[in-house]
Amino acid sequence: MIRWSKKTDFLSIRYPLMAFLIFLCFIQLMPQVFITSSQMDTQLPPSADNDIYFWMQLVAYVFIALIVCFYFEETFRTPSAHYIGTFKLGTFRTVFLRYVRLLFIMEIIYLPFVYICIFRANKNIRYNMEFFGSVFELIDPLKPIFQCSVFMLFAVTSAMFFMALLKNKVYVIVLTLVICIMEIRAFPILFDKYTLFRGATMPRADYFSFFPENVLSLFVLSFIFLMLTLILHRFNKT
Amino acid sequence: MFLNLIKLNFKLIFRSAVFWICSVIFIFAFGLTVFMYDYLEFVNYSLILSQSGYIIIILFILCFISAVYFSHNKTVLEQSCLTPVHIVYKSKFAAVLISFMTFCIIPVCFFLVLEIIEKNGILFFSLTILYMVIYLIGIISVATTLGFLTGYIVRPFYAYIFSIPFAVIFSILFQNTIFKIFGYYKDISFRIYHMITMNSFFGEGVEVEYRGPNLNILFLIKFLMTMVVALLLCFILFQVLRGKVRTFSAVGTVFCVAAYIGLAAAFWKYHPVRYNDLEKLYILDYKQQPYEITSYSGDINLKEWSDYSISVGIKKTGEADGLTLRLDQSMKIKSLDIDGKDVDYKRFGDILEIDCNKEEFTLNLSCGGRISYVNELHSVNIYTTNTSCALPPEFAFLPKIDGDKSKKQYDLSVKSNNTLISNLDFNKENGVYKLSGNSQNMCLFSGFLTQTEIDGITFYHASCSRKLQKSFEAYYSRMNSNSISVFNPDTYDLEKYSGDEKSKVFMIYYLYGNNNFFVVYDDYMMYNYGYPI
Amino acid sequence: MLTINNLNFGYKKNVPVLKDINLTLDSGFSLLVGENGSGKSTLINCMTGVLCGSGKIEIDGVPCGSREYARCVSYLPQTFDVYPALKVGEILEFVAGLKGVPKKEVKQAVKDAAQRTNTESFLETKFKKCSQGMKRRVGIASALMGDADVIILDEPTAGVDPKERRQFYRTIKECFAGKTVLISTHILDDIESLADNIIMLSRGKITCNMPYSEFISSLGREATLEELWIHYQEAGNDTVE
Repeated sequence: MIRWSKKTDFLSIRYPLMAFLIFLCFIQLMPQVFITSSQMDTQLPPSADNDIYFWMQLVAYVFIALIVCFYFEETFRTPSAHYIGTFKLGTFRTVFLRYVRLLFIMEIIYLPFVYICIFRANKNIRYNMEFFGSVFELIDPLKPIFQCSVFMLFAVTSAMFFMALLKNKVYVIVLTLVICIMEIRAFPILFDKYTLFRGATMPRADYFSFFPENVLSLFVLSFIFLMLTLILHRFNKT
Repeated sequence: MFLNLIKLNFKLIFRSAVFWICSVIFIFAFGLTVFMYDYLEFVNYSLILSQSGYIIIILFILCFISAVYFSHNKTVLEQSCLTPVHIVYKSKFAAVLISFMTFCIIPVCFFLVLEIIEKNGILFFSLTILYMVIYLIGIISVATTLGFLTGYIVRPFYAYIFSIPFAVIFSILFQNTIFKIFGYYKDISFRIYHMITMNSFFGEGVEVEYRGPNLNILFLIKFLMTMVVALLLCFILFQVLRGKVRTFSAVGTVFCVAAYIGLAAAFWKYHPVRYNDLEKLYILDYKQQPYEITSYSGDINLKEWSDYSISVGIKKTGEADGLTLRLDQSMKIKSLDIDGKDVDYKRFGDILEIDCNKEEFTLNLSCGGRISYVNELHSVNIYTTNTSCALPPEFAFLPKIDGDKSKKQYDLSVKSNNTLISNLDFNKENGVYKLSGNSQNMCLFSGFLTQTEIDGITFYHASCSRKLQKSFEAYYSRMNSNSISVFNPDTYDLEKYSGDEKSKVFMIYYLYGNNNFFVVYDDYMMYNYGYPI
Repeated sequence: MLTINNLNFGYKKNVPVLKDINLTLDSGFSLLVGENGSGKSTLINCMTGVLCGSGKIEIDGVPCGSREYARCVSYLPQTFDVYPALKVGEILEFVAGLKGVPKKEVKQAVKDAAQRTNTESFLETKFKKCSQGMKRRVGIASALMGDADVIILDEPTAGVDPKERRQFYRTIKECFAGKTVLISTHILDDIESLADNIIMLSRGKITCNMPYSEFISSLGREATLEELWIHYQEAGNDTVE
């Protein structure tokens, strides 16, 4: 049966995947990332602020884009796309199935680290409770895990879309860097709570709900990017 | 040939999408910073310069990745003409560097629009443009050179990734790392942070709004340091292009390293000195002396290294062995005599001890120096530069006696390159301000200042401040409230105030340990510029 | 057998690139020749199913565009440059998967193909580090995968030195013996060394489709390949005018 070799996919991303893993481990060595300041005012909704999303979303986005670029490079790069198109594998198997596979692997690798980060943040909150003698809300790990899984969905889908559009991993990485720069200040000013990586800089992350406004943005954009990618691939083939 | 190659590369660069996309991104980011920030609302556009951490990151990354991109461009055409490889890349590098200098036009255009709106005057505008252009040239030089070098050495596209760590090192993002190593918010941490990164100095503190752009010796030294780093990277690039050590490049590299060390030493020397309010301004612990200063007269030339030629009339009010004056240690004494006769003196920091037994005498002092102090809230708020100065009344820029509350007669000629204000009466004749009057103390502030008279009160304020109307309203609402608390400089504490209006109100930056409360003197009052209402 | 009936194709409306192409390819080496812009690459793209023109293209009744058809065709592009960062063996395994070679047989298929193309010692070498000639041989090895009936090679000897080219002729003659092979080329050496059939394309039309032996004597006199080339190219130009 015609198939796209899973081994080839793994071989093509082994080095950037390793770099991503090293990066995720490296974050664990920085205790200042998990220092969390919590809302003291019980009248207002609970909130917590730390640097977790800055590293686990904003900076991680560059690594994820790198992995996706290597993974999908041969699918969209003109000479190889042309060659692979002769095998009539179809957009579903060439793009969609592989995308789902990659997303699954990335989530499996990434989400446990998110859990560890939230665990350490909660540890810091407990320490603050003892120190200040106040009661702060602990972060339910499920909520940031869900938010980060949506982030990963967006990161993989957007990078795949840019790769389909630009067909060159250099341009995709540059575009990714530009998005990250914009997310530091420009996009939060423009989009406020709807900014992509809310919590990376400003405004504060919302660790206490499953669906803050920015997660909605990520979902919608992911769906749009996925559709556009499939259409682009189909269109380029015909 | 080299010029022809540069022309070719200019064509390639200005016709490439990468250059124009970077320009658009920079315009967008700069515009966003300019128009979305609060401080535009109440102060002047030059303060964007001190809040430019984000712009530096963007500009650095854009220049870096563009330089990498152009360094990776194919050189088939040049090589087919048998042009030596090092000439090809040198011309490419020169073209990239010069092309990206055109990014300086973007903030110039923005500031031009803002100047038309704010109307701060040609001097303000020129200084802002000069500051911004020099600042950006430094950043662009380093980013482009580093990017080109990285792109040449690291051929695959991983070179682009290097933009992240380099941007972190040269920007505000490195602050935490430096502070962690050298201590959070310590003086040494700030010095090293300002030396390594290209961030503006003390951007985290509240700005003195009437100063305008801070084009002082420190800024120029920093610019030179940045250019030396860029030059060093150039020499390294030339070495790499040649593939072997060349005498010129080697000598250049050594020269750059030596120059950097020398400039770093100068930077360290001229970096603002951290001061404590209780050591420089509000002296609570002093020995009351049986002396009073009766008069000050003389000439002051206010610039970065100011010159003071002062005659101080002093009278004894009791038994005393000698006289202890306070004169800031940055004022270097050139000559000191009493009634024309040289006299021995001792200097310990701000303390000046003189042997004198006369009942009444005139101390003639010639001194000068550069004043640059930063407070614990990271504001450089006691300083002299060529276009501005902030010398609050408690600061010993003229010799004073601790605890002396008597009224003095002032008769001074002050030369200032910019508008000068003081609590004393002043008028300007032939570019020189004549200050005269009777007061317990004296303050001097110069910069982009002006005055407004309302109901017989003279309000001094920045000429480039836009939140002025609200400042007047805030002043009146405070004065008309049931009870006013004011800061007492003698006790370093707050106290109730009767609410008597003074004839002069200084509505300018005034955060000298007073926590935004009024500071009231015999005939004038300080009120931090409508901040916050 | 590959048959093309009334194939017309244009990238834009009213600008035809291929006009009324009728062709039957049987086993043996058919060389597709023509000047630049004559439509060779477009014709090959139509034959590989990448482009879709009007008309019919079939291999033994299997229409072009279907997966079945794709399995019957092996295509080697002019620049074979897929996953250059991987090793030669890994690339061949990837191609084997795309060609539907059963998983258990992949390793053996790769070994066989490498043996036949003399690339065994390069299986552990990264593709981007291989020489131009070696890359061509790897391309042929990939074309051997899946045992397709029709082999299409797009300018396979471009940029290859004469010695390597001779080796290349030997290799493809051995590897693709008995198959239907279509080679697109500019190089006259290829025609002399490989052609069983000549198909000449000029301005999107076939101006010559005959066995090589007939082609050589088609001018009624002794003529060089250049003269024959020019004659049939100009015939195409005259037809258009």
